[in-house]
Amino acid sequence: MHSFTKTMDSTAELIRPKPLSLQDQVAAAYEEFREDLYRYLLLLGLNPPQAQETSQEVFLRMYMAQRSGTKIRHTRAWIFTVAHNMALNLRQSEHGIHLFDPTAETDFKSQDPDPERRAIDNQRNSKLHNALASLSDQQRHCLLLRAEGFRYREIADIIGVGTSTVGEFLRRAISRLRKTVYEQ
Amino acid sequence: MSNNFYSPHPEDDELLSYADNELKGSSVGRVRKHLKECWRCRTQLEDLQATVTGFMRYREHTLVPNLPGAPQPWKSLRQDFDRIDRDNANLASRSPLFARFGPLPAMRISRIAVGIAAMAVIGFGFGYVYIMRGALPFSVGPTPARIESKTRATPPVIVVPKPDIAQRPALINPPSVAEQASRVINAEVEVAVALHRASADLGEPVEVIIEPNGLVVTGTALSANRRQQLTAALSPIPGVSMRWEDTRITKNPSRPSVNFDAGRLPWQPELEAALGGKAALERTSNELLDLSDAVTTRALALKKLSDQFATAALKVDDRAKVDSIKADHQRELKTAVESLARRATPVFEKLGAAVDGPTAAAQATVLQAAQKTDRLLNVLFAGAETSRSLARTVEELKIAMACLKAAVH
Repeated sequence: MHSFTKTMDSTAELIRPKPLSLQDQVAAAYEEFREDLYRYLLLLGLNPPQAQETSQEVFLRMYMAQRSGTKIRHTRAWIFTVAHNMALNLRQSEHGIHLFDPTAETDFKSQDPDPERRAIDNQRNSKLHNALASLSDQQRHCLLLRAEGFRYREIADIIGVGTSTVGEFLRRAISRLRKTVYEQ
Repeated sequence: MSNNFYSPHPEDDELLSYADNELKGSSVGRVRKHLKECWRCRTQLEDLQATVTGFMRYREHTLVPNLPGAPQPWKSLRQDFDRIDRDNANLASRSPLFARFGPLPAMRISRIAVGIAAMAVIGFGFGYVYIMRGALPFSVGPTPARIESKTRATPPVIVVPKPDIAQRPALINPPSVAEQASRVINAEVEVAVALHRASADLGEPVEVIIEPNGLVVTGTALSANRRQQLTAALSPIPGVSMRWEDTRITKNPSRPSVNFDAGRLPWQPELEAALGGKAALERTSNELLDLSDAVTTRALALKKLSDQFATAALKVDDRAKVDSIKADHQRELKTAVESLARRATPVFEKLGAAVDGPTAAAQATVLQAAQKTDRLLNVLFAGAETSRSLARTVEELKIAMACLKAAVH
Protein backbone atom coordinates (compact mmCIF):
# COMPACT_ATOMS: atom_id res chain seq x y z
CA MET A 1 0.00 0.00 0.00
CA HIS A 2 2.74 2.25 1.04
CA SER A 3 4.77 1.77 -2.06
CA PHE A 4 1.68 2.05 -4.22
CA THR A 5 0.97 5.52 -2.89
CA LYS A 6 4.53 6.45 -3.47
CA THR A 7 4.32 5.30 -7.08
CA MET A 8 1.14 7.31 -7.56
CA ASP A 9 2.84 10.38 -6.16
CA SER A 10 5.78 10.21 -8.44
CA THR A 11 3.51 9.57 -11.42
CA ALA A 12 1.49 12.59 -10.45
CA GLU A 13 4.70 14.56 -10.31
CA LEU A 14 5.51 13.53 -13.83
CA ILE A 15 2.07 14.50 -15.10
CA ARG A 16 1.79 17.72 -13.11
CA PRO A 17 3.03 20.64 -15.22
CA LYS A 18 6.05 22.46 -13.97
CA PRO A 19 4.95 25.54 -12.01
CA LEU A 20 5.21 28.67 -14.12
CA SER A 21 8.02 31.06 -13.35
CA LEU A 22 7.07 34.54 -12.22
CA GLN A 23 8.15 35.90 -15.59
CA ASP A 24 5.87 33.40 -17.34
CA GLN A 25 2.95 34.30 -15.11
CA VAL A 26 3.27 38.01 -15.69
CA ALA A 27 3.87 37.50 -19.40
CA ALA A 28 0.69 35.41 -19.58
CA ALA A 29 -1.30 38.08 -17.72
CA TYR A 30 0.16 40.68 -20.11
CA GLU A 31 -1.00 38.66 -23.13
CA GLU A 32 -4.42 38.21 -21.64
CA PHE A 33 -5.23 41.63 -20.25
CA ARG A 34 -3.17 44.24 -22.10
CA GLU A 35 -5.84 45.02 -24.71
CA ASP A 36 -8.54 45.44 -22.04
CA LEU A 37 -6.26 47.70 -20.13
CA TYR A 38 -5.27 49.73 -23.16
CA ARG A 39 -8.93 50.26 -24.03
CA TYR A 40 -9.80 51.31 -20.50
CA LEU A 41 -6.92 53.80 -20.44
CA LEU A 42 -8.10 55.31 -23.73
CA LEU A 43 -11.56 55.68 -22.26
CA LEU A 44 -10.04 57.41 -19.23
CA GLY A 45 -8.64 60.00 -21.62
CA LEU A 46 -5.06 58.93 -22.25
CA ASN A 47 -3.83 59.26 -25.81
CA PRO A 48 -2.87 56.04 -27.64
CA PRO A 49 0.92 56.16 -27.07
CA GLN A 50 0.38 57.05 -23.39
CA ALA A 51 -2.20 54.31 -23.02
CA GLN A 52 0.08 51.72 -24.55
CA GLU A 53 3.13 52.78 -22.59
CA THR A 54 1.14 52.83 -19.38
CA SER A 55 -0.32 49.39 -20.07
CA GLN A 56 3.18 47.95 -20.46
CA GLU A 57 4.40 49.79 -17.42
CA VAL A 58 1.60 48.30 -15.32
CA PHE A 59 2.81 44.77 -16.02
CA LEU A 60 6.39 45.71 -15.22
CA ARG A 61 5.16 47.03 -11.90
CA MET A 62 3.27 43.85 -11.39
CA TYR A 63 6.45 41.91 -11.97
CA MET A 64 8.39 44.13 -9.56
CA ALA A 65 5.69 43.97 -6.94
CA GLN A 66 5.47 40.19 -7.06
CA ARG A 67 9.22 39.86 -7.13
CA SER A 68 9.37 41.76 -3.88
CA GLY A 69 6.86 39.43 -2.29
CA THR A 70 3.55 41.22 -2.86
CA LYS A 71 0.74 38.68 -3.11
CA ILE A 72 -1.71 39.60 -5.84
CA ARG A 73 -4.93 37.70 -5.44
CA HIS A 74 -7.03 39.18 -8.22
CA THR A 75 -4.71 39.95 -11.08
CA ARG A 76 -7.16 41.79 -13.28
CA ALA A 77 -8.45 43.99 -10.45
CA TRP A 78 -4.87 44.73 -9.38
CA ILE A 79 -3.69 45.82 -12.81
CA PHE A 80 -6.77 47.98 -13.31
CA THR A 81 -6.16 49.62 -9.94
CA VAL A 82 -2.57 50.44 -10.79
CA ALA A 83 -3.53 51.59 -14.28
CA HIS A 84 -6.37 53.74 -12.98
CA ASN A 85 -4.09 55.55 -10.52
CA MET A 86 -1.35 56.01 -13.11
CA ALA A 87 -3.83 57.34 -15.64
CA LEU A 88 -5.28 59.89 -13.24
CA ASN A 89 -1.79 61.07 -12.35
CA LEU A 90 -0.85 61.31 -16.01
CA ARG A 91 -4.00 63.16 -16.86
CA GLN A 92 -3.20 65.71 -14.20
CA SER A 93 0.05 66.54 -15.90
CA GLU A 94 -0.47 65.99 -19.61
CA HIS A 95 -2.92 66.25 -22.42
CA GLY A 96 -5.08 63.31 -23.25
CA ILE A 97 -7.61 62.85 -26.00
CA HIS A 98 -10.77 63.38 -23.95
CA LEU A 99 -13.18 61.09 -25.67
CA PHE A 100 -15.89 62.34 -23.39
CA ASP A 101 -15.23 66.02 -23.71
CA PRO A 102 -18.76 67.38 -24.13
CA THR A 103 -17.45 70.13 -26.40
CA ALA A 104 -15.61 67.76 -28.72
CA GLU A 105 -17.17 66.60 -31.95
CA THR A 106 -17.34 62.84 -31.93
CA ASP A 107 -17.43 60.62 -34.91
CA PHE A 108 -18.61 57.30 -33.57
CA LYS A 109 -20.67 55.94 -36.42
CA SER A 110 -22.85 52.87 -36.59
CA GLN A 111 -21.59 50.04 -38.80
CA ASP A 112 -25.06 48.82 -39.73
CA PRO A 113 -25.49 48.21 -43.50
CA ASP A 114 -29.15 49.29 -43.52
CA PRO A 115 -29.19 53.11 -44.01
CA GLU A 116 -32.42 53.63 -42.04
CA ARG A 117 -31.21 51.60 -39.06
CA ARG A 118 -27.85 53.33 -39.36
CA ALA A 119 -29.51 56.72 -39.05
CA ILE A 120 -31.44 55.63 -35.96
CA ASP A 121 -28.33 54.05 -34.48
CA ASN A 122 -26.29 57.16 -35.12
CA GLN A 123 -28.84 59.33 -33.40
CA ARG A 124 -28.98 57.00 -30.40
CA ASN A 125 -25.20 56.71 -30.33
CA SER A 126 -24.71 60.41 -30.28
CA LYS A 127 -27.25 60.71 -27.45
CA LEU A 128 -25.48 57.98 -25.51
CA HIS A 129 -22.14 59.58 -26.13
CA ASN A 130 -23.37 62.93 -24.88
CA ALA A 131 -24.97 61.26 -21.89
CA LEU A 132 -21.63 59.62 -21.08
CA ALA A 133 -19.92 62.96 -21.45
CA SER A 134 -22.41 64.50 -19.04
CA LEU A 135 -21.62 61.99 -16.28
CA SER A 136 -19.21 62.91 -13.55
CA ASP A 137 -15.78 61.28 -13.86
CA GLN A 138 -16.52 58.94 -10.98
CA GLN A 139 -19.87 57.86 -12.38
CA ARG A 140 -18.31 57.22 -15.77
CA HIS A 141 -15.40 55.29 -14.26
CA CYS A 142 -17.85 53.09 -12.34
CA LEU A 143 -19.88 52.47 -15.45
CA LEU A 144 -16.85 51.62 -17.59
CA LEU A 145 -15.46 49.30 -14.94
CA ARG A 146 -18.82 47.61 -14.47
CA ALA A 147 -18.92 47.09 -18.24
CA GLU A 148 -15.46 45.50 -17.93
CA GLY A 149 -17.12 42.94 -15.67
CA PHE A 150 -15.93 44.12 -12.27
CA ARG A 151 -18.10 43.68 -9.18
CA TYR A 152 -18.97 46.63 -6.95
CA ARG A 153 -16.36 45.63 -4.35
CA GLU A 154 -13.61 45.55 -6.98
CA ILE A 155 -14.70 48.85 -8.52
CA ALA A 156 -14.66 50.37 -5.04
CA ASP A 157 -11.05 49.23 -4.60
CA ILE A 158 -10.00 50.44 -8.03
CA ILE A 159 -11.36 53.95 -7.74
CA GLY A 160 -10.90 54.24 -3.98
CA VAL A 161 -14.42 54.72 -2.64
CA GLY A 162 -16.84 52.61 -0.60
CA THR A 163 -18.93 49.83 -2.11
CA SER A 164 -22.22 51.60 -1.41
CA THR A 165 -20.87 54.69 -3.13
CA VAL A 166 -20.21 52.59 -6.22
CA GLY A 167 -23.86 51.49 -6.15
CA GLU A 168 -24.96 55.09 -5.89
CA PHE A 169 -22.66 56.26 -8.73
CA LEU A 170 -23.93 53.46 -10.94
CA ARG A 171 -27.55 54.22 -10.13
CA ARG A 172 -27.03 57.85 -11.06
CA ALA A 173 -25.15 56.94 -14.21
CA ILE A 174 -27.81 54.52 -15.41
CA SER A 175 -30.61 56.89 -14.57
CA ARG A 176 -28.85 59.67 -16.48
CA LEU A 177 -28.38 57.42 -19.51
CA ARG A 178 -32.01 56.36 -19.36
CA LYS A 179 -33.25 59.93 -19.17
CA THR A 180 -31.08 61.20 -21.97
CA VAL A 181 -31.61 58.38 -24.38
CA TYR A 182 -35.09 57.13 -23.79
CA GLU A 183 -37.04 60.03 -22.35
CA GLN A 184 -36.67 62.92 -24.73
CA MET B 1 -54.60 52.40 -0.82
CA SER B 2 -53.75 49.32 -2.79
CA ASN B 3 -50.16 49.82 -1.68
CA ASN B 4 -51.07 48.47 1.75
CA PHE B 5 -51.24 45.00 0.27
CA TYR B 6 -47.72 45.19 -1.03
CA SER B 7 -44.31 45.24 0.51
CA PRO B 8 -42.63 48.65 0.12
CA HIS B 9 -41.19 49.46 -3.30
CA PRO B 10 -37.43 48.99 -3.40
CA GLU B 11 -35.26 52.04 -4.01
CA ASP B 12 -33.78 52.52 -7.46
CA ASP B 13 -30.29 51.62 -6.30
CA GLU B 14 -31.68 48.49 -4.66
CA LEU B 15 -33.19 47.44 -7.96
CA LEU B 16 -29.91 47.96 -9.77
CA SER B 17 -28.00 46.09 -7.06
CA TYR B 18 -30.59 43.33 -7.29
CA ALA B 19 -30.12 43.11 -11.05
CA ASP B 20 -26.35 43.07 -10.53
CA ASN B 21 -26.60 40.34 -7.86
CA GLU B 22 -25.02 42.71 -5.36
CA LEU B 23 -27.81 42.74 -2.79
CA LYS B 24 -27.02 41.20 0.55
CA GLY B 25 -28.95 38.98 2.94
CA SER B 26 -32.67 39.20 3.34
CA SER B 27 -32.98 42.14 0.93
CA VAL B 28 -32.66 39.74 -1.99
CA GLY B 29 -35.71 37.74 -0.97
CA ARG B 30 -37.69 40.87 -0.16
CA VAL B 31 -36.97 42.48 -3.51
CA ARG B 32 -37.59 39.27 -5.41
CA LYS B 33 -40.94 38.80 -3.67
CA HIS B 34 -41.88 42.41 -4.26
CA LEU B 35 -41.04 42.19 -7.94
CA LYS B 36 -43.41 39.26 -8.32
CA GLU B 37 -46.17 41.35 -6.79
CA CYS B 38 -45.55 44.72 -8.36
CA TRP B 39 -45.97 45.55 -12.03
CA ARG B 40 -44.54 48.97 -11.59
CA CYS B 41 -41.25 47.85 -10.11
CA ARG B 42 -41.01 45.02 -12.61
CA THR B 43 -41.36 47.55 -15.40
CA GLN B 44 -38.79 49.72 -13.74
CA LEU B 45 -36.38 46.82 -13.51
CA GLU B 46 -36.93 46.11 -17.19
CA ASP B 47 -36.21 49.76 -17.97
CA LEU B 48 -32.96 49.50 -16.03
CA GLN B 49 -32.01 46.35 -17.89
CA ALA B 50 -32.90 47.95 -21.22
CA THR B 51 -30.67 50.91 -20.39
CA VAL B 52 -27.81 48.60 -19.47
CA THR B 53 -28.35 46.57 -22.65
CA GLY B 54 -28.45 49.74 -24.76
CA PHE B 55 -25.25 51.00 -23.20
CA MET B 56 -23.47 47.67 -23.62
CA ARG B 57 -24.52 47.44 -27.29
CA TYR B 58 -23.22 50.93 -27.88
CA ARG B 59 -20.00 50.01 -26.11
CA GLU B 60 -19.48 46.75 -27.99
CA HIS B 61 -20.61 47.81 -31.45
CA THR B 62 -19.72 51.47 -31.63
CA LEU B 63 -17.50 52.83 -28.89
CA VAL B 64 -14.88 50.08 -28.71
CA PRO B 65 -14.60 49.38 -32.49
CA ASN B 66 -14.03 53.10 -33.04
CA LEU B 67 -11.21 53.36 -30.51
CA PRO B 68 -7.75 53.72 -32.04
CA GLY B 69 -5.64 50.56 -31.89
CA ALA B 70 -2.31 50.41 -30.12
CA PRO B 71 0.11 52.61 -32.10
CA GLN B 72 3.02 50.13 -31.82
CA PRO B 73 3.07 46.34 -31.90
CA TRP B 74 2.97 45.05 -28.32
CA LYS B 75 6.54 44.35 -27.34
CA SER B 76 7.62 41.38 -25.29
CA LEU B 77 8.40 42.35 -21.72
CA ARG B 78 10.97 39.60 -21.20
CA GLN B 79 13.96 41.88 -21.70
CA ASP B 80 12.56 44.34 -19.20
CA PHE B 81 11.97 41.52 -16.72
CA ASP B 82 15.57 40.44 -17.15
CA ARG B 83 16.80 43.98 -16.69
CA ILE B 84 14.76 44.31 -13.51
CA ASP B 85 16.27 41.08 -12.24
CA ARG B 86 19.80 42.25 -13.12
CA ASP B 87 19.34 45.68 -11.61
CA ASN B 88 17.92 44.22 -8.45
CA ALA B 89 20.80 41.79 -8.16
CA ASN B 90 23.31 44.62 -8.61
CA LEU B 91 21.61 46.87 -6.13
CA ALA B 92 21.22 44.09 -3.60
CA SER B 93 24.91 43.33 -3.74
CA ARG B 94 25.78 46.99 -3.19
CA SER B 95 23.30 47.97 -0.53
CA PRO B 96 22.58 46.06 2.65
CA LEU B 97 19.47 48.23 3.09
CA PHE B 98 18.17 47.06 -0.23
CA ALA B 99 18.81 43.45 0.63
CA ARG B 100 16.78 43.89 3.79
CA PHE B 101 13.80 45.49 2.15
CA GLY B 102 13.80 43.68 -1.15
CA PRO B 103 13.79 45.10 -4.63
CA LEU B 104 12.53 48.56 -5.27
CA PRO B 105 10.69 49.93 -8.25
CA ALA B 106 13.50 52.30 -9.07
CA MET B 107 15.14 50.33 -11.80
CA ARG B 108 12.79 50.47 -14.68
CA ILE B 109 13.20 54.14 -15.26
CA SER B 110 10.51 55.09 -17.68
CA ARG B 111 9.45 58.65 -18.12
CA ILE B 112 6.34 58.01 -16.06
CA ALA B 113 7.96 56.09 -13.28
CA VAL B 114 11.01 58.19 -12.64
CA GLY B 115 9.62 60.55 -10.07
CA ILE B 116 7.51 57.99 -8.34
CA ALA B 117 10.30 55.45 -8.22
CA ALA B 118 12.77 57.98 -6.89
CA MET B 119 10.41 58.79 -4.07
CA ALA B 120 10.02 55.12 -3.32
CA VAL B 121 13.75 54.87 -2.69
CA ILE B 122 13.70 57.52 0.00
CA GLY B 123 10.22 56.73 1.10
CA PHE B 124 10.70 53.75 3.39
CA GLY B 125 9.10 53.44 6.76
CA PHE B 126 7.29 56.29 8.31
CA GLY B 127 5.71 58.61 5.85
CA TYR B 128 6.01 56.32 2.88
CA VAL B 129 2.34 55.77 2.39
CA TYR B 130 1.57 59.32 3.26
CA ILE B 131 3.96 61.07 0.92
CA MET B 132 3.08 58.79 -1.90
CA ARG B 133 -0.63 58.90 -1.38
CA GLY B 134 -1.31 61.04 -4.39
CA ALA B 135 1.17 59.45 -6.70
CA LEU B 136 1.22 55.87 -5.58
CA PRO B 137 0.63 53.48 -8.44
CA PHE B 138 -0.73 50.69 -6.31
CA SER B 139 -2.93 51.15 -3.31
CA VAL B 140 -0.90 50.50 -0.21
CA GLY B 141 -3.46 52.00 2.08
CA PRO B 142 -6.96 53.21 1.49
CA THR B 143 -7.04 55.72 -1.33
CA PRO B 144 -8.86 58.88 -0.38
CA ALA B 145 -11.99 59.46 -2.38
CA ARG B 146 -11.50 62.08 -5.00
CA ILE B 147 -14.15 64.69 -4.78
CA GLU B 148 -16.08 64.78 -7.98
CA SER B 149 -15.14 67.73 -10.06
CA LYS B 150 -18.01 69.52 -11.68
CA THR B 151 -16.13 70.14 -14.88
CA ARG B 152 -15.16 67.19 -16.89
CA ALA B 153 -13.38 68.51 -19.89
CA THR B 154 -9.63 68.67 -19.45
CA PRO B 155 -8.54 71.36 -21.84
CA PRO B 156 -5.19 73.11 -22.22
CA VAL B 157 -3.24 73.27 -19.01
CA ILE B 158 -1.48 76.37 -17.77
CA VAL B 159 1.30 75.43 -15.44
CA VAL B 160 2.61 77.88 -12.89
CA PRO B 161 5.75 76.19 -11.68
CA LYS B 162 7.59 77.19 -8.57
CA PRO B 163 11.19 77.40 -9.79
CA ASP B 164 12.62 76.11 -6.51
CA ILE B 165 10.86 72.78 -6.61
CA ALA B 166 10.13 72.14 -10.26
CA GLN B 167 12.21 69.32 -11.71
CA ARG B 168 14.43 69.14 -8.67
CA PRO B 169 16.35 65.88 -8.90
CA ALA B 170 14.76 63.85 -6.16
CA LEU B 171 17.82 61.90 -5.13
CA ILE B 172 20.39 64.64 -4.55
CA ASN B 173 20.81 65.02 -0.80
CA PRO B 174 17.36 63.80 -0.03
CA PRO B 175 15.95 65.07 3.24
CA SER B 176 15.29 62.44 5.84
CA VAL B 177 12.05 60.58 5.52
CA ALA B 178 10.57 62.08 8.66
CA GLU B 179 11.65 65.56 7.58
CA GLN B 180 10.14 65.06 4.16
CA ALA B 181 6.86 63.75 5.55
CA SER B 182 6.38 66.52 8.05
CA ARG B 183 7.27 69.15 5.44
CA VAL B 184 4.64 67.77 3.07
CA ILE B 185 2.03 67.55 5.83
CA ASN B 186 2.79 71.06 6.96
CA ALA B 187 2.47 72.40 3.41
CA GLU B 188 -0.76 70.48 3.02
CA VAL B 189 -2.19 72.11 6.13
CA GLU B 190 -1.09 75.55 4.92
CA VAL B 191 -2.74 74.89 1.58
CA ALA B 192 -5.93 73.80 3.31
CA VAL B 193 -5.91 77.00 5.37
CA ALA B 194 -5.29 79.20 2.31
CA LEU B 195 -7.99 77.50 0.28
CA HIS B 196 -10.41 77.74 3.17
CA ARG B 197 -9.74 81.48 3.56
CA ALA B 198 -10.41 81.91 -0.14
CA SER B 199 -13.59 79.79 0.22
CA ALA B 200 -12.14 77.45 -2.36
CA ASP B 201 -12.97 74.38 -0.27
CA LEU B 202 -16.68 74.47 -1.00
CA GLY B 203 -17.11 72.31 -4.03
CA GLU B 204 -15.07 74.43 -6.40
CA PRO B 205 -13.13 72.21 -8.81
CA VAL B 206 -9.89 72.73 -6.92
CA GLU B 207 -7.86 69.74 -5.82
CA VAL B 208 -4.67 69.20 -3.91
CA ILE B 209 -2.45 66.49 -5.28
CA ILE B 210 0.70 65.16 -3.68
CA GLU B 211 3.26 64.59 -6.37
CA PRO B 212 6.80 63.33 -5.97
CA ASN B 213 8.25 66.83 -6.24
CA GLY B 214 5.79 68.62 -4.01
CA LEU B 215 2.21 69.62 -3.59
CA VAL B 216 0.25 70.65 -6.63
CA VAL B 217 -2.99 72.55 -6.45
CA THR B 218 -5.08 72.11 -9.57
CA GLY B 219 -8.10 74.08 -10.58
CA THR B 220 -10.35 73.53 -13.53
CA ALA B 221 -12.49 76.06 -15.35
CA LEU B 222 -11.72 78.92 -13.01
CA SER B 223 -12.03 82.47 -14.23
CA ALA B 224 -8.81 84.43 -14.73
CA ASN B 225 -9.72 86.52 -11.75
CA ARG B 226 -10.23 83.52 -9.51
CA ARG B 227 -6.97 81.97 -10.69
CA GLN B 228 -5.18 85.14 -9.77
CA GLN B 229 -6.77 85.19 -6.31
CA LEU B 230 -5.81 81.60 -5.62
CA THR B 231 -2.29 82.04 -6.99
CA ALA B 232 -1.84 84.98 -4.65
CA ALA B 233 -3.15 82.96 -1.73
CA LEU B 234 -1.01 79.90 -2.43
CA SER B 235 2.25 81.42 -3.68
CA PRO B 236 3.68 82.19 -0.24
CA ILE B 237 3.58 78.52 0.76
CA PRO B 238 6.91 76.82 0.01
CA GLY B 239 6.91 73.66 -2.07
CA VAL B 240 3.52 74.26 -3.65
CA SER B 241 2.89 74.74 -7.34
CA MET B 242 -0.33 75.44 -9.14
CA ARG B 243 -1.77 74.06 -12.30
CA TRP B 244 -4.75 75.81 -13.75
CA GLU B 245 -6.55 73.88 -16.37
CA ASP B 246 -8.11 76.26 -18.78
CA THR B 247 -11.38 75.81 -20.50
CA ARG B 248 -13.61 77.63 -22.83
CA ILE B 249 -16.62 76.75 -20.75
CA THR B 250 -16.72 79.05 -17.79
CA LYS B 251 -20.30 78.51 -16.87
CA ASN B 252 -21.26 78.90 -13.28
CA PRO B 253 -21.17 75.32 -12.08
CA SER B 254 -23.94 75.82 -9.55
CA ARG B 255 -27.22 74.03 -9.80
CA PRO B 256 -29.51 75.36 -12.52
CA SER B 257 -32.79 76.56 -11.12
CA VAL B 258 -35.73 74.30 -11.47
CA ASN B 259 -38.44 75.33 -13.83
CA PHE B 260 -41.81 73.76 -13.88
CA ASP B 261 -42.80 73.14 -17.43
CA ALA B 262 -45.98 71.25 -17.84
CA GLY B 263 -45.83 67.62 -16.86
CA ARG B 264 -42.43 67.75 -15.22
CA LEU B 265 -43.58 66.35 -11.94
CA PRO B 266 -46.27 63.76 -11.48
CA TRP B 267 -47.50 65.53 -8.36
CA GLN B 268 -47.11 69.07 -9.61
CA PRO B 269 -50.83 69.89 -9.30
CA GLU B 270 -50.84 68.82 -5.64
CA LEU B 271 -47.69 70.81 -4.91
CA GLU B 272 -49.01 73.91 -6.64
CA ALA B 273 -52.30 73.67 -4.78
CA ALA B 274 -50.58 73.21 -1.44
CA LEU B 275 -47.99 75.95 -1.86
CA GLY B 276 -50.13 78.54 -3.63
CA GLY B 277 -49.43 78.40 -7.33
CA LYS B 278 -46.63 77.75 -9.76
CA ALA B 279 -44.56 80.79 -8.83
CA ALA B 280 -44.62 79.87 -5.15
CA LEU B 281 -43.69 76.30 -5.97
CA GLU B 282 -40.73 77.47 -8.04
CA ARG B 283 -39.55 79.81 -5.34
CA THR B 284 -39.94 77.26 -2.56
CA SER B 285 -38.21 74.49 -4.43
CA ASN B 286 -35.30 76.65 -5.49
CA GLU B 287 -34.83 77.91 -1.95
CA LEU B 288 -34.95 74.43 -0.48
CA LEU B 289 -32.62 72.98 -3.10
CA ASP B 290 -30.15 75.83 -2.60
CA LEU B 291 -30.17 75.34 1.15
CA SER B 292 -29.71 71.63 0.65
CA ASP B 293 -26.79 72.37 -1.68
CA ALA B 294 -25.23 74.47 1.05
CA VAL B 295 -25.68 71.66 3.58
CA THR B 296 -24.23 69.02 1.28
CA THR B 297 -21.30 71.24 0.32
CA ARG B 298 -20.33 71.79 3.95
CA ALA B 299 -20.81 68.13 4.82
CA LEU B 300 -18.59 67.17 1.88
CA ALA B 301 -15.97 69.72 2.85
CA LEU B 302 -15.88 68.27 6.36
CA LYS B 303 -15.62 64.74 5.08
CA LYS B 304 -12.86 65.71 2.67
CA LEU B 305 -10.96 67.45 5.42
CA SER B 306 -11.13 64.53 7.81
CA ASP B 307 -10.19 62.09 5.04
CA GLN B 308 -7.27 64.27 4.02
CA PHE B 309 -5.81 64.52 7.49
CA ALA B 310 -7.07 61.25 8.93
CA THR B 311 -3.82 59.35 8.83
CA ALA B 312 -1.46 62.26 9.16
CA ALA B 313 0.44 62.66 12.38
CA LEU B 314 -0.04 66.40 12.70
CA LYS B 315 2.01 68.75 14.78
CA VAL B 316 0.05 70.49 17.51
CA ASP B 317 -0.24 73.84 15.74
CA ASP B 318 -1.11 72.16 12.44
CA ARG B 319 -3.80 70.14 14.19
CA ALA B 320 -5.18 73.36 15.64
CA LYS B 321 -5.36 74.92 12.17
CA VAL B 322 -7.20 71.94 10.77
CA ASP B 323 -9.55 71.93 13.76
CA SER B 324 -10.30 75.58 13.23
CA ILE B 325 -11.28 74.97 9.60
CA LYS B 326 -13.40 72.07 10.77
CA ALA B 327 -15.11 74.27 13.35
CA ASP B 328 -15.93 76.84 10.65
CA HIS B 329 -17.52 74.20 8.49
CA GLN B 330 -19.41 72.70 11.40
CA ARG B 331 -20.82 76.07 12.38
CA GLU B 332 -21.90 76.85 8.82
CA LEU B 333 -23.29 73.37 8.42
CA LYS B 334 -25.39 73.74 11.54
CA THR B 335 -26.69 77.12 10.37
CA ALA B 336 -27.53 75.72 6.95
CA VAL B 337 -29.30 72.70 8.42
CA GLU B 338 -31.32 74.96 10.71
CA SER B 339 -32.30 77.25 7.84
CA LEU B 340 -33.27 74.26 5.76
CA ALA B 341 -35.39 72.85 8.57
CA ARG B 342 -37.02 76.24 9.19
CA ARG B 343 -37.84 76.64 5.52
CA ALA B 344 -39.08 73.07 5.16
CA THR B 345 -41.40 73.02 8.18
CA PRO B 346 -44.21 75.12 6.66
CA VAL B 347 -43.85 73.16 3.44
CA PHE B 348 -44.38 69.90 5.29
CA GLU B 349 -47.36 71.43 7.07
CA LYS B 350 -48.91 72.55 3.81
CA LEU B 351 -48.34 69.13 2.33
CA GLY B 352 -50.31 67.70 5.21
CA ALA B 353 -47.48 65.80 6.86
CA ALA B 354 -47.29 65.88 10.64
CA VAL B 355 -44.44 68.16 11.69
CA ASP B 356 -43.19 65.98 14.53
CA GLY B 357 -42.38 63.03 12.37
CA PRO B 358 -40.59 59.91 13.47
CA THR B 359 -37.00 60.51 14.42
CA ALA B 360 -35.94 56.89 14.50
CA ALA B 361 -32.92 55.60 12.61
CA ALA B 362 -30.89 58.72 13.28
CA GLN B 363 -27.72 56.71 12.91
CA ALA B 364 -26.54 58.16 9.60
CA THR B 365 -23.43 60.30 9.30
CA VAL B 366 -23.94 63.96 8.48
CA LEU B 367 -22.88 63.41 4.89
CA GLN B 368 -25.16 60.42 4.39
CA ALA B 369 -28.12 62.29 5.84
CA ALA B 370 -27.31 65.40 3.80
CA GLN B 371 -27.06 63.39 0.59
CA LYS B 372 -30.26 61.51 1.32
CA THR B 373 -32.06 64.79 2.02
CA ASP B 374 -30.69 66.32 -1.15
CA ARG B 375 -31.74 63.34 -3.20
CA LEU B 376 -35.26 63.34 -1.82
CA LEU B 377 -35.61 67.08 -2.39
CA ASN B 378 -34.59 66.43 -5.95
CA VAL B 379 -37.20 63.71 -6.20
CA LEU B 380 -39.83 66.02 -4.77
CA PHE B 381 -39.05 69.14 -6.76
CA ALA B 382 -36.96 68.16 -9.73
CA GLY B 383 -38.52 64.88 -10.76
CA ALA B 384 -35.34 62.88 -10.16
CA GLU B 385 -37.37 59.69 -9.78
CA THR B 386 -40.99 59.70 -10.60
CA SER B 387 -41.79 56.20 -9.54
CA ARG B 388 -42.57 57.04 -5.92
CA SER B 389 -45.68 58.39 -4.33
CA LEU B 390 -45.78 61.97 -3.11
CA ALA B 391 -46.76 60.98 0.43
CA ARG B 392 -43.92 58.49 0.72
CA THR B 393 -41.35 60.93 -0.61
CA VAL B 394 -42.42 63.59 1.88
CA GLU B 395 -42.37 61.06 4.74
CA GLU B 396 -38.88 59.89 3.82
CA LEU B 397 -37.70 63.43 3.42
CA LYS B 398 -38.88 64.25 6.92
CA ILE B 399 -37.02 61.27 8.32
CA ALA B 400 -33.87 62.17 6.40
CA MET B 401 -34.03 65.73 7.70
CA ALA B 402 -34.59 64.50 11.24
CA CYS B 403 -31.46 62.35 10.84
CA LEU B 404 -29.60 65.34 9.49
CA LYS B 405 -30.60 67.51 12.43
CA ALA B 406 -29.67 64.77 14.86
CA ALA B 407 -26.32 64.28 13.13
CA VAL B 408 -25.22 67.91 13.34
CA HIS B 409 -26.22 68.34 16.98
